[in-house]
Amino acid sequence: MTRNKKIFSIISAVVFLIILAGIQISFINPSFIKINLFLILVLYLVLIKQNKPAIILAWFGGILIGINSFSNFGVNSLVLLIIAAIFIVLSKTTFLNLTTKSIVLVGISGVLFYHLLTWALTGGGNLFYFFNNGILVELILTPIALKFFLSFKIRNA
Amino acid sequence: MKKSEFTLWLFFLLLTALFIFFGQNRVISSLQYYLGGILSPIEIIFNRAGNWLFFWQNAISNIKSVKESNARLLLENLELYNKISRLSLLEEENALLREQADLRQKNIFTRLANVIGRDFQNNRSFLIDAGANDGIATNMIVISKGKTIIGRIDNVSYGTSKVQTILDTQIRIAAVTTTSNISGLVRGLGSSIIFDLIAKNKKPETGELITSSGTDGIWPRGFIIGKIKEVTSSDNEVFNTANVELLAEPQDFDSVFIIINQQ
Repeated sequence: MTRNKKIFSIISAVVFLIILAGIQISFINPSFIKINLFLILVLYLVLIKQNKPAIILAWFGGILIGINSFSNFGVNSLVLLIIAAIFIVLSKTTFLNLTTKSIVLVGISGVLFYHLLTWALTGGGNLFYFFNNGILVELILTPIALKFFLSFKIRNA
Repeated sequence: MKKSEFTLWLFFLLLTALFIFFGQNRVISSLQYYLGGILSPIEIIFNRAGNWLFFWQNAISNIKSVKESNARLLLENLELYNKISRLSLLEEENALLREQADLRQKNIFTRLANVIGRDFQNNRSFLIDAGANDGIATNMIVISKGKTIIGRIDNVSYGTSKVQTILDTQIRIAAVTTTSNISGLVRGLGSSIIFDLIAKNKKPETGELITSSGTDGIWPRGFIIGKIKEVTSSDNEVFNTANVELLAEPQDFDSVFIIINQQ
């Protein structure tokens, strides 16, 4: 890849992530579709063994969605970075394939980890505060979204 | 996790920790501010798109209740229109009754009647819905709510009467101008009226009101007839004459008062 192409792809990725953050903050968060696009993207990259982009995305995505978050600036990044690390380690041992079962398990555990970590890092409170309709929709939609994106990847491969 | 991946992860972890612990630092606050500035136009666009989408989502999901509510509101609207129409009629009737009550205080007893027929070829006569049955008799004076003379009862039947307006050529009313107190005789010419028999040395002002003087013994005193439009004076005429402008044309009235008895 030439230098110019590299710069162009980096700029494109940044623009894409900014737009994604805009969609997350202004479109998805106020709606009933409670999904975290950056969490899905991090999990997706981990599952396709793109660990470095997953770590970078976890940090940058967390920073972007943290701008309009009520928690401290950087907490979202920290949560996504920890999740990325957990799944990178787990993918080496447990989730070695891209079967539906693995994808569903990654999706559900990713959402639960995300909420648990957010709860722990934002000062706690009621432990089961996140068990509401929002998380139920997220628990269903995250594995579906992961399966959907991975089906494209598998088809292209 | 490979060593390079772990290094990268650790670098970002430390950077994030720095953001968290020194969140109030000017550099980090500026970064947050500038990133917010970059994000805000995109947020505005998606927020608008979201609002638009949620509006239609709500509209579609609530379409049944909206339709039901619309049907109910239409019905309520019709009922309200009906009420407004009735209130308007009552208001009109109330105004007329007040006028009648006002006349009664001046010992002028009247009866309210509605105009039920007109001759559109001329304004010399019209029909009212009160007749002999209601105590109406020939030669009774017909006035409007502004105490303006309209005419007199010409013909009476059981339930209706024919009113001869002051435009009719048979009408003669002894009259006087309100300001200059000049006497004369108001005559109908068919389509207009004139103030005739004004003394040669007297000239009423244009726009002056003319009222009935009551000296003829037929028409009651103090009712308005019209106002002076133009005074004509000629050397070979014995009297001066003035064209009179009616305050309201006979076809403008929907209801009139008939003076039954004046004490």
